[in-house]
Amino acid sequence: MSLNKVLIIAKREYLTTVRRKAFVVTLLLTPAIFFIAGVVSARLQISAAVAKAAEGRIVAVVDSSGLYGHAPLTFDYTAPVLPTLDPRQAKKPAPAPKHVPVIMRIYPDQKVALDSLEAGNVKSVLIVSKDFLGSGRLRLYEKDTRTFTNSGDQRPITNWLSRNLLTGGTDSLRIERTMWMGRSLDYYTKDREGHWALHDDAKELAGFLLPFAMTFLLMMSIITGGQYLLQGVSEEKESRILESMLCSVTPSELLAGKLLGLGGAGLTLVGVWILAGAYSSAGALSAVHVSIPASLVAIGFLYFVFGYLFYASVMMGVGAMTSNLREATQFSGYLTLLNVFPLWLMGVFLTNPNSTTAVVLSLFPPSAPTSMILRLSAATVSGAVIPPWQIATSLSLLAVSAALTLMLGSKLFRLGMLLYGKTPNLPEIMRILRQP
Amino acid sequence: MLQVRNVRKVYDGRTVVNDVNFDVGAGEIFALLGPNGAGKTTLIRMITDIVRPDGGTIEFGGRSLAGPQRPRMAYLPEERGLYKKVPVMDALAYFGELKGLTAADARRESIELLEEFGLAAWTKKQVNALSKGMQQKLQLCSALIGRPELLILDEPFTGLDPINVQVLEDVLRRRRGEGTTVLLSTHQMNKVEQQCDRALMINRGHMVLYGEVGEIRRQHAANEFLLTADGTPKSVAGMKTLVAENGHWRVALEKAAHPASVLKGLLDQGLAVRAFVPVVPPLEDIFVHVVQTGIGLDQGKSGPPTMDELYVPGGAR
Repeated sequence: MSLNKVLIIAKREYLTTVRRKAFVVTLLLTPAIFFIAGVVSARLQISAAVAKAAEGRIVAVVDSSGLYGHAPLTFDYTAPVLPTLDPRQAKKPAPAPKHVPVIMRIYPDQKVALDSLEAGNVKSVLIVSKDFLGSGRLRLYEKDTRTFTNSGDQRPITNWLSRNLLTGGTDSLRIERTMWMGRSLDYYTKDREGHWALHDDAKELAGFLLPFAMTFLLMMSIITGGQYLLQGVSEEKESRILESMLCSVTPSELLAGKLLGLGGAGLTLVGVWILAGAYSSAGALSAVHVSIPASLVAIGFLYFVFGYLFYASVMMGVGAMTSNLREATQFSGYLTLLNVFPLWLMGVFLTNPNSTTAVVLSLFPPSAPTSMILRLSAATVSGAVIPPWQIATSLSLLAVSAALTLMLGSKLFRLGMLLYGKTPNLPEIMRILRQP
Repeated sequence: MLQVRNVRKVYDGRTVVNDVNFDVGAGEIFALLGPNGAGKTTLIRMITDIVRPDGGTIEFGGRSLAGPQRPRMAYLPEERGLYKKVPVMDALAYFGELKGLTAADARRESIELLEEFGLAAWTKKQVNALSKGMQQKLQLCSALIGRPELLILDEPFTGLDPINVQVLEDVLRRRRGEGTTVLLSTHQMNKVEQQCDRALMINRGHMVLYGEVGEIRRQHAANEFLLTADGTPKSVAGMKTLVAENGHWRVALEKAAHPASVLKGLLDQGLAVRAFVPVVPPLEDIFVHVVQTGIGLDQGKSGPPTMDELYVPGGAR
């Protein structure tokens, strides 16, 4: 095999791919979509919830119990300032507490109160049942059409109910403690070294995001490289250029050049995303004391190499056996699912990276790259230990499978590429594989 | 230079190339002929090492075509294409680099070829912006770049206008002069007659014709002559038929008759004979006759048919 020819082919494949408009669009659009979906939509939702919670309220109260006859009917509700989950915000001065003016308007019966709600004179109707003290039964009516959620923060109403139920029965300090019970509860769990440590919500969030990001990037690099190969092989077959080329290069040289060049294009894509992601999230990761160990990066690279070879070989075979790109894409879609499948079970991996499901999926070659990186990343945050023999076995099985699919894919590539305008059936594929 | 010895290929128990032998010398343009499905493409794919033969050997200048010492070789298949979304120069230079040229040499030779084929103005255009005929010329350039020692062309004249056909013929003649071995597969028999020194015809995987093009045609000539004369000839001894044809006379001789004695008889009539030339059948007629009659397909027999088998009284028509 001529290394020079392999490099010429790899260079051409790489440059042709990265210069394509589709590559540039994918490079920019994918993170943009995630940014919009993850950050912008979350911010919009939070802003909407905050605005709703900050709105003044007029509440119609139908008190059948008579417990609230002497309660004050106007007050300012001051929401407690919650600790932020974003560590970058922690250093900033706490925002001033917001005061929400609340007016409780007593109504004689439910019908009049509901008519008032219909007319828009009040925002809510609170029904305190006659046997409230015994049953605790309350009803709240609101004109809210949003799915799954109610109008949001009900704390002004529950606060008013609790405070005025206790007033006169105990001192104001006890009332305050009762009102904010749980707010000052410090939750301790064991850290990675086995010491008791204050539970960190931000770190927990990182514990979800880091494995997801690592696995997603590995999966994308494998799929992208494989898809480029599929596209390249299909286009080459459709353009019928291969037969002319095989006079100057061997199928092995052509194949090696394609694998190298298109794998490089896939890595470039993901590499840019990683650099951009690392730059924008470095502060957050360091603030929560989560770092990506070098061993995880090294193992991730090995999984990329073998995973890419495995899927690229399969894609190459599919591309060589099908008559056009559309048909090839249909077949490859199903195969790609095997690589994506572990992400659907992410909850299982995060809860227990050493569960039977996680172990089995990380040993099964088609799902091994994503599964093992998901396990290792989850373990990095949670402190769980992945047995080294499982990593070694998983990598070995994947490497052997990659070698096998590469051998079969090369053969299908060499002979299938010359079957113009025809998709062979299974017996014909078996016959091709039996040829010398 | 090119030596093909006892080459055989079997697919699913069906022999598609059966014991084929031929040589092509340096600086020779050699025709590979045969009807569709005869086994030509399989034979070419074995020569280019895309498909391995089940038996026999193929060598070029004593070197195996399969090993690292393979000669500089180019193949323009009948089913051909190009990378579409790249500039013409890049598409061509890439082929040059794959054939072992440096990047600079590949670009220099690309320019020479593009000028030779009248495509110099299109260097920076995308390949898919070229017309079908221009793409055809670019494909020829991609085969010719790198100065191949063995050039295999399958239907290279298809899609070219008469001017470009002439350009290609000139290029082939020049390459032949430089010592390039050319294997030409085509159904355009007039091109074979004009361009090729020798020819091999295969049918159903068997060799059915092999030799010099002129000799093959002469061997297929029926004992017929075309007579051009002032006046009206009369039948003479040894003459079987005499038929007027477009201002000439087609004279068929009896099998034992000698042309010189028939000519003497005509002159003795006082006829002013201006020409008396043997009728040589076109290669196309020979092709049709050989395929239709299945000559050379005898079971258990290998090699081309004998002259007796090929000789057809009354001509190849």
